[in-house]
Amino acid sequence: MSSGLIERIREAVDSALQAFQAAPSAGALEAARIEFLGAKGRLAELMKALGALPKEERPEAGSAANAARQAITAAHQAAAAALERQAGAADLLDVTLPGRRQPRGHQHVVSRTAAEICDIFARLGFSLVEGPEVETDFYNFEALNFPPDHPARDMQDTLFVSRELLLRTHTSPMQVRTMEKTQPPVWVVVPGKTYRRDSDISHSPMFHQVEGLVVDQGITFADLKGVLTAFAAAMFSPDTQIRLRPSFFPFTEPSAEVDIACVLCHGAGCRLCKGTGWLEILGSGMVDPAVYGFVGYDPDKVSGFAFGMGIERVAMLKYGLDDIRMFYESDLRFLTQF
Amino acid sequence: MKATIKWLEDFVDLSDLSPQFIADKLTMAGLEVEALFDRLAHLAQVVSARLEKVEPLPQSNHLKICQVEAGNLGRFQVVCGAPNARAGLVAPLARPGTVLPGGLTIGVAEVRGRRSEGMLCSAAELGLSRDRSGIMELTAPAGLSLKEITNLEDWVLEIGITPNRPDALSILGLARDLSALLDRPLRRPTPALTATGPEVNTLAQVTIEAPDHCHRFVARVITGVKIGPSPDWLADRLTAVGLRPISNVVDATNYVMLELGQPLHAYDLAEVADHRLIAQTYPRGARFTTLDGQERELTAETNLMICDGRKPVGLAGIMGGLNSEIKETTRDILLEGAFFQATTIRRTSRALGLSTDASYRFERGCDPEICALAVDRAIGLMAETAGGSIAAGRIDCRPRPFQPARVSFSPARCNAYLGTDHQPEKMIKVLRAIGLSIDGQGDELTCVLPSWRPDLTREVDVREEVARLLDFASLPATLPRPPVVRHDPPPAWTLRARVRERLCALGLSESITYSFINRNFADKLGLPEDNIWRQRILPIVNPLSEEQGILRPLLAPSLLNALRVNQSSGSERTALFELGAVFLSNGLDRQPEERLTLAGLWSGLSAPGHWIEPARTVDFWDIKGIVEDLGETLNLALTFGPSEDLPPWYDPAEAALVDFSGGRLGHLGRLNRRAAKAFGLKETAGPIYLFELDGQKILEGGLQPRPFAAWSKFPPNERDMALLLDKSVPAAQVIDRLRAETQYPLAQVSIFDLYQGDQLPAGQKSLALRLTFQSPDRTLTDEEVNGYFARITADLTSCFGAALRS
Repeated sequence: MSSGLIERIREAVDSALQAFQAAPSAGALEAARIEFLGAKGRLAELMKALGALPKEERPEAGSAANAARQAITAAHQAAAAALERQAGAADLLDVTLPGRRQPRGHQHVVSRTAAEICDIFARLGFSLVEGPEVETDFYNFEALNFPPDHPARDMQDTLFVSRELLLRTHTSPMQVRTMEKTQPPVWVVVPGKTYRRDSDISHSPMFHQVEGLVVDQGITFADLKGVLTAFAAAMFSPDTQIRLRPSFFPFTEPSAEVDIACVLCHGAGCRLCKGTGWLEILGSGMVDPAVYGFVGYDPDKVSGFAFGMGIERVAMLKYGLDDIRMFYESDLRFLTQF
Repeated sequence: MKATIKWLEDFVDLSDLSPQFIADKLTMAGLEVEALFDRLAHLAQVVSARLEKVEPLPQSNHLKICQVEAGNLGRFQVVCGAPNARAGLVAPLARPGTVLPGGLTIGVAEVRGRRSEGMLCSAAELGLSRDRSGIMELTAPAGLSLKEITNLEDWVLEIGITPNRPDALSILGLARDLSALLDRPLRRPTPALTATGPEVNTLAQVTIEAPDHCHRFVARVITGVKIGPSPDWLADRLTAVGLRPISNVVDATNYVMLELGQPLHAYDLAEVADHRLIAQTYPRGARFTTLDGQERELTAETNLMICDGRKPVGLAGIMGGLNSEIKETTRDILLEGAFFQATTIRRTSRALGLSTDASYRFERGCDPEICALAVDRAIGLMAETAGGSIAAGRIDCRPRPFQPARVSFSPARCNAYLGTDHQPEKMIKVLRAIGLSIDGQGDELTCVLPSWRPDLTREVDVREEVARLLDFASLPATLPRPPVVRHDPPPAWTLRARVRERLCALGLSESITYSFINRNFADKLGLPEDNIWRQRILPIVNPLSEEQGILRPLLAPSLLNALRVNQSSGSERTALFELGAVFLSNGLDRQPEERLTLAGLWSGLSAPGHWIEPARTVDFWDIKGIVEDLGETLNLALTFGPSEDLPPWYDPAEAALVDFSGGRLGHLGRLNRRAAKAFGLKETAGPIYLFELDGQKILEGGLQPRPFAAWSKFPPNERDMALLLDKSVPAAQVIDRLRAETQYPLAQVSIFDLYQGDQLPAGQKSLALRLTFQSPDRTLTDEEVNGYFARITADLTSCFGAALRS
């Protein structure tokens, strides 16, 4: 008798497991649960039948029925979880699709580089000043020791607005304007637009410079080299070597062109540096005493240095650009790369 | 300035030094070598070849077809026209790829259907002599390069000479610096002349009538010369440094100019009336024909001319006259070596737009003490190359004798200025080597400055010489002590930085365009005649082109041109801004107003299309949103309104003036069709929106930080209101009216809907407002808020004739 019941219990477990596994939906699974585990389900019927067994057979059949309930319940839970997983899979995001982004704008490479240069000099102790782009002959040339009718003026082909007014050919006029207004110590950098009557792959009629000026007691030529060495290390890479080469500017004496070790070949010689291992980045020198004469400084008491660099030149070296005209065409394919 | 190492070696021993070493020495002394090359480098590609078989080329009366053998390199067939081409001869063969002096590139050619694999060369074709009578006959075996056979090289230096160094515009000057740098003696030329003619004074006279412009005039005469070509050595040297040989007499003057830096001029004495030269000034307007055959009208105020007894014969220091130039028949030469005032020469040269090797040197400053030596050297060369008899003595007029300048020099001050530690003895040694005479004791020395260095006038100039000649590279690097006080950047810099950061975040990219534009911008924008942007235009006197003819008074034209660039490259979304000065003239010779201006342009898509939302074209609200955002960023209360004063390039239906507490700030809106067409812009990708704001006005008001505002701890209470209004009532008026009322604690008003469809009476719109009431000190009850709401409704009804829409 009892063996018959136990057999029926086993059958119930088998068919419950089958039914749960086959249930295609939550509804079907629930129907199957009610069929087997419900208050009037097959297991409940079997439990009822248990009562009709002789007493001595009850424990064996009872424990079989309990085990069956546990097995069926566990199978139901597993089936339910599997169904849930299945349902969830349909809602999974394809996380490889692109996210929603705000279109971003790009700062111009010249203003970015100017800010970078000025930040470095600010850390070294310089203050930033700006000046007019339309200048007088006095500030642009005369007070910088370019006498009228001097061939030195040929070095800077000038765009004129009138007999006396011109588009500044360098940011150096602010040296004079700054010294006129302040007493030493002077530590300034001057970023800004500059203009020359020149246009080709490496010359633009409008370009940008950063001027630097330090005047104080006891400033030396070696100080100029120190400040520019610190700048080159910060702007390019910490081990960037610089080289001073004698040159000529009417408003500095001695004057020097400053080269940095080539950013591509690090001095070995390549196409960028034309095999020399060096790249010219700026002009500099000790402020010529003649300039102090125009601003009422006493050259026996103070000395100083000045330098000026082309921002485009620095940017071209830093980003590997070779045509200066691209800077001003406003082509977004260029602008959005920086 | 070009120089050859061989020529330099006439003056200083360089035999053991490599050309590169010499070039580096010069560069590091401020004489920048821009190019260094062996003029005979092509000889490495030319090989000796034995002519094995030489046959006449059919249908040609002089060409021959030669089978040649070049050792290991093999056999070649070459067509050759040289009369001396014959079997058994060894001659130079330039193989395909070789570039000969003068730029001829040898290739494989077909001559009358016969292949010619190179060229058999004459000595002239190889740049080795003037001989072009036939191919060069070699005594070497076949298969060697001409470089190996001749062992010749001729290194040419191209040096960028700065305007302060006229002395370095000569071989002697370069050699002098090398002698100082290398600590080797300088060999100065000492021409020994044999004068066989009569006293020069009996043959010619010189008068200086303009001593301020002509400080010295030296002249010599040589008679009975025979004009002809210069010898090879002399012609080669001229060719090597880029001068074309002309004739023995003219070449001698050029040779000495290059060698000693003193420009010379040779006159045909027979053409000089009265055998007399007079240096005198001529005013503007005089006419003169220079030896290049051009008749020129003098345009400088004062011009120095060299005249004979009747007429001008030379434009002093610039170019001689056609009337007295050296001709093939010239027999007697009057040679001039003068010192002309630099400014005089420069003014005339610039006014005429005529720059020559002579004027280039004079305007930078020649050596007044070298005239006699230069004239002697040239007259000696003429005697050597053209024969003739040198007249005894020289004419030397010097109304303004050279007075050498003296400066004191202290080695200690020099080291203190440079931050160096050079020994005084070393300083004195290099200074003497470049021609300074130094006396004095200890630290107080006196230098007599040489006549060929007009750039040296002060102690600081002498310090530069010390720095330059005593190894620039060894300069130490030290950091000076920075000042305690540091100043903030100017407000304009800060303003630009803030605006740039914000606009980039909003999706606009920064553009920088030329400050100059085409004057026609005014017509393109449709500016009326009396418009200030027309009236205050600042033109450039000497622009590079019409496109860059004036300084811009507005940024809009530049951005519109930038849009055209991007439209043609197919950009779907062009969003740009520019921060820069605009220029408004203040009248002639007065500095113009430079106003910092902020401008933006947006056209095409508002954002690149995305798989979630489709792309949309930009509209008025996008550009207005940008300007509103800027207002918030800069803490400016902006108001927007339509106006009759809108600039003419906007479409009045979609444009507004922007005002703030400081007055008119600018304008924004849609570019009208007429202006778009004028700028060559397409509107197929959607309308074009612009804004332009006056940054200067923002700066005048100062950049104000936004003060902190505490918020209420009590709950807000919101009410929505749909107002039925006449379409002409601007929303801003309604909001202003609500905000102006202080009777109720209205914390916020926002517009959340606008409806103006068919459901409404004609001419009406429905504006949906959300009112947020909040008290700083208590919780508002619903009854209170309802009361406020009712009062507001009543107020708006009476004020605007509005009704509540249910």
